[in-house]
Amino acid sequence: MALLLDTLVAFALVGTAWRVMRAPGHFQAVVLFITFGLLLSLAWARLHSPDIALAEAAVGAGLAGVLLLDTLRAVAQPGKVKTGAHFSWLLLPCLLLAGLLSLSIMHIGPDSQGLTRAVEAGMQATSLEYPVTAVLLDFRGYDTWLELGVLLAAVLGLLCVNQKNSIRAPLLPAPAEPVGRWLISILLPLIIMVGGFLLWLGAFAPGGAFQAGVVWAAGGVLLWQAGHPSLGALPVSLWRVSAVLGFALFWLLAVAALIRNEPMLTHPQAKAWILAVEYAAALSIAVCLTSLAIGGQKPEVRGQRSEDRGHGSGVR
Amino acid sequence: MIFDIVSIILCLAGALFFLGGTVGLLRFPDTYSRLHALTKADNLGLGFIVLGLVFASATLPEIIKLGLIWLLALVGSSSACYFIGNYIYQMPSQEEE
Repeated sequence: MALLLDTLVAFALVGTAWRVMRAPGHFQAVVLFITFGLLLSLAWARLHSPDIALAEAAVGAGLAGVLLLDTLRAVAQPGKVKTGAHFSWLLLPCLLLAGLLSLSIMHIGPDSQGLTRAVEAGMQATSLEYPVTAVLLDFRGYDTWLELGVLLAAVLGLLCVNQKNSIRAPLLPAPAEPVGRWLISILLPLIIMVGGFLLWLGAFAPGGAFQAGVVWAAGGVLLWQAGHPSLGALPVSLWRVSAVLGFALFWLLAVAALIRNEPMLTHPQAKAWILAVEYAAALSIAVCLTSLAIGGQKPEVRGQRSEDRGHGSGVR
Repeated sequence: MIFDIVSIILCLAGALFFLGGTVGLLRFPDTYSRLHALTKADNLGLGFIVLGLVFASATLPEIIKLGLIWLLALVGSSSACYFIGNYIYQMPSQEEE
């Protein structure tokens, strides 16, 4: 029964990937890509990796989908892709890569533990209870730090391209959209709560900064899509501070270790300190992703239906 | 045992509704009726599957979470349906892709 399900997921994955390549238009390709991300998160869940499944569903399917759809809207005329014509030369390299990957997987013994032993040995030295979070924030802090740096660099690049000095996008007048406001009033408290729950969970169970940050970013995108005035009410300085906070705390860790003449990013094993870094990282991820999603928008693209827009003063 | 059978029957009923909704999505002529097929049938299907899983689950927190998932899916699909329908209603020229 489980084998049947796994086979179905595997074939659906390959089939959807093929459909993404052969999609008749960009829009269909993006929607299929989102479907592909959801199927992929299902596959990760079947592989007993709830952390990756959560991240894939939230980032790979959710937020990347939003960014791709925004890109489609920003590109003036999406046009049609000729089916398959652009990709046929990729077939051979892809097959080669797939073959190499399969070979390397076959070389891993069935009872191979991977790095599980090393992580288990390291768990003695850290104050976190959950190994995945310990790897992300403690053993491999470099990776997380640089990921935050990549996000920050992407936001800065967006600002440079748009020649703006504020992360905050120009806020649109709220559309007179009762359903959108109703949706926000229901979803936003839940989004804040679920994000906080994932963050809190990260210390001892699947969850953590990235998942929480993406859930919060989804809330920010939702607020912006509905033209809610609360995003614009935040002062620009607060946006800037929250965007760099995660990166800056990691940087402080690194510098403090260097001053104490220890290897970089070694830090006192206080749980409060690690959790502070994680919470700051989640906030920065949320702010950076929201900025990425809303920062590249041109206001006039959304302003076409101006007759059914009111002013959002009554929303709060 | 009884609970297992009830659970399986409910999940199968849910799957049937999902199948119906998918057939409707593929076969119905215009966007409005496709939306109708998608939201009505899928919400019912998910409801049946959630109910079936409630019979299969052990603890109260699980049941509450399942119920919450169904409610959230209801909220999401009904408002998404409204947004798509409203968008098409405002721009009749783009009704068919």
